[in-house]
Amino acid sequence: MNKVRIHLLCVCLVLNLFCKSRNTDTLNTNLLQSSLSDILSLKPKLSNEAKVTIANLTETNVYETLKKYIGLKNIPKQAELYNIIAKNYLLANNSLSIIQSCNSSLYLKDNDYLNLSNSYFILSEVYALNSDYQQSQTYFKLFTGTKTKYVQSSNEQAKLRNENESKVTLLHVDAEDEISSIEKKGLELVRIKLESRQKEQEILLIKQENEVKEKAIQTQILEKKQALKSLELIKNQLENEKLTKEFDRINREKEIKGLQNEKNKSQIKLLNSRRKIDISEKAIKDLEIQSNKKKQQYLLIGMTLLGIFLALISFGFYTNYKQKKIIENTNSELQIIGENLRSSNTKLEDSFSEINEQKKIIEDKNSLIIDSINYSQRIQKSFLFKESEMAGYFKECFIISVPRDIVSGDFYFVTKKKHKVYIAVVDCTGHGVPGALISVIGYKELKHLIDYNDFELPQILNKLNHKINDTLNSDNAVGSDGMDLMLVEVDTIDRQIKFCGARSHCLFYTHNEFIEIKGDRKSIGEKEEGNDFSFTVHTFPFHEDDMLYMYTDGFSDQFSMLRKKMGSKLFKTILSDHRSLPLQNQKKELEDVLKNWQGEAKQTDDITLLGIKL
Amino acid sequence: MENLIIHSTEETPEINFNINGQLLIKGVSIPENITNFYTPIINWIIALDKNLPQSINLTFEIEYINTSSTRVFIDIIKQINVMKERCSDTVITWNYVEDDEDIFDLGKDLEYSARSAFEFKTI
Repeated sequence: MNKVRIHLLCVCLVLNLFCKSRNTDTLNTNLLQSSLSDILSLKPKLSNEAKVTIANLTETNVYETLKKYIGLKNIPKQAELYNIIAKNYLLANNSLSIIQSCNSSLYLKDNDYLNLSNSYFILSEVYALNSDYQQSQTYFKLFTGTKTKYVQSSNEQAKLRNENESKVTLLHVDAEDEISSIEKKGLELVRIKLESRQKEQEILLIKQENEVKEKAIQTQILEKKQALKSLELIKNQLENEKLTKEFDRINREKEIKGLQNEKNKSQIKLLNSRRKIDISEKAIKDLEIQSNKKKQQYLLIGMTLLGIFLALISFGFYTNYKQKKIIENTNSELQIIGENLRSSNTKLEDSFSEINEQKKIIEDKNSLIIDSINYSQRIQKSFLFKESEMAGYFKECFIISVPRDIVSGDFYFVTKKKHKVYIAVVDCTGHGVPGALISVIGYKELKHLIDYNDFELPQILNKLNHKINDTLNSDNAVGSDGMDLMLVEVDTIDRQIKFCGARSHCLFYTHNEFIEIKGDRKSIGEKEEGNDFSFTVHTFPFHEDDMLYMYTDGFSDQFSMLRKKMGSKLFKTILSDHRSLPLQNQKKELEDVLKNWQGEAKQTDDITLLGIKL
Repeated sequence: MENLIIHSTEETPEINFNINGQLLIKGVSIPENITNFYTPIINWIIALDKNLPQSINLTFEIEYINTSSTRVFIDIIKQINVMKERCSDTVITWNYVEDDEDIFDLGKDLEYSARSAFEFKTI
């Protein structure tokens, strides 16, 4: 903030000045100078930018007035203005321009002492600023010289002037005093600067001396090092000489030792030959000792053998005695065991007779059950068509029906209504007696729905579902009872065949290809929430000799002895393989295939397969 | 509540129900008396509903089942569906041997009848 204020102040000062000068037509140089000196006193506080703007402002204006004075040939004013310009440049630190304008002031002829002294002073300052103290001093001397001259002349002029003008002179004196104080300050500054310069030079000299000393010390150190190295070299040489001498000595010693070794070797050879002689003598002695030892060994072996023989005999006697004791003990034990066995035998006989009794009861019961089931089978068969009965409806047909447990949960159904023949193959939940019971209900309901009504196939299945749910699934028991079935309607006049299935498939062979008809995924009698229980109808035209295979999953679900399920894939290929045979032959072949597949394995489910030639 | 483990027989499947929600039904299901065998199993699942685990994974690995078992399975799946409303991490997996289209088809039937969605995986 301060800087900005100073800046503004300066600009105002300058502008104020120029406004005044313009008004008076001639520049008031005194005013200009005083304001410039004001600005210069503020110089250290001004920013560079401010300095340059102020300098530019004054420069342009001062040049204009200078031109006027040149025109008027007023030399003192010209000189004064040159000095002002120089001062102005001093503000902008442009030393070259300062010197130029000062010189142009100095070269003016008939210049007065005041202007000259001012120019010299500015020049001395400029050189001082540029550290050229010699020049500065010379100009300063010139300045003091001209200044004294000026003072003298002004004094003379003052004396000549009236006393009335003494006030003016007094003012001059004041100004001179000010100038002298400034001069003194300047001189002091110059002196201080000079002193500092001298000190710097002294310091430089000291530094140089120090450097020289350091270098001398370094050279001394280097010389010492070299001396040490040369000493070491001498030492090494001496050691080398010593080593070579020692080496010579060692070699000589070795030679002496070699000679001694040779002597020793010959002595050893002599000793060895003596030893050999000793060894041979010893061997002879050893042989004699060994022959004596062997005799002693034979004696020892004989003695030990005798000992062993005696020990064995005594052991034999001992074991014989022991065994006799054991046999006696075991005999008594055996007698006890025998008694125990006899008692347990009687117990076993008792339990066996008990088991036999129970077995008889079971057999009796079983025969009763089987009898009743067998009779049930008779009932079931009574409502199932026989092959001969079915033959009247079709060109050819066969039935394979193998109940798993005498009675079957499977049933098939054929009925004719006008020109339509209805065939159904049904797989009831469960097998054996429960399955058979459901089959009876299913048969009755289905027959009723077809014989006494005129429903389409999906309607028949839908109504059957309701009936079965009403009769069998009214409770909330686990699971539900019902049936999977395939219902077929053969229209002999329209020559078309319709299929409608509940979780059941069948195969239709027409135009030399098998078509698998898949029933809907729902089953009859399933607990079904909601009313959507509609079934899909598949309709095909049929031709003579087209084949129809209807079945429950019993055939394809049969496991082999290796616990492998036949699967519908294999089942279909088996049917396809035998399709061209006469139907009775087909039946026989298919029965054989099933028997071979099943082997000794248990029947998985009830089996029903109908083959029909249309 | 304890885990329910029943070993397989010639006519009944292996049941391995863990209270952590891992449930497995594996093997053959042709029991003479379907109610006797499956009532405790259904009851266990109903009990699980009251001790709902974080996730349920019911896995079927069926070799062969009869028509009555199919219906019990539908009941079991429906029970799981009820739990699914509160246990979102509920999965029913249907494992089948790759070329056994009958078992695959059975899975599809069950999926349809129980109004559920299975993850079908070949083994």
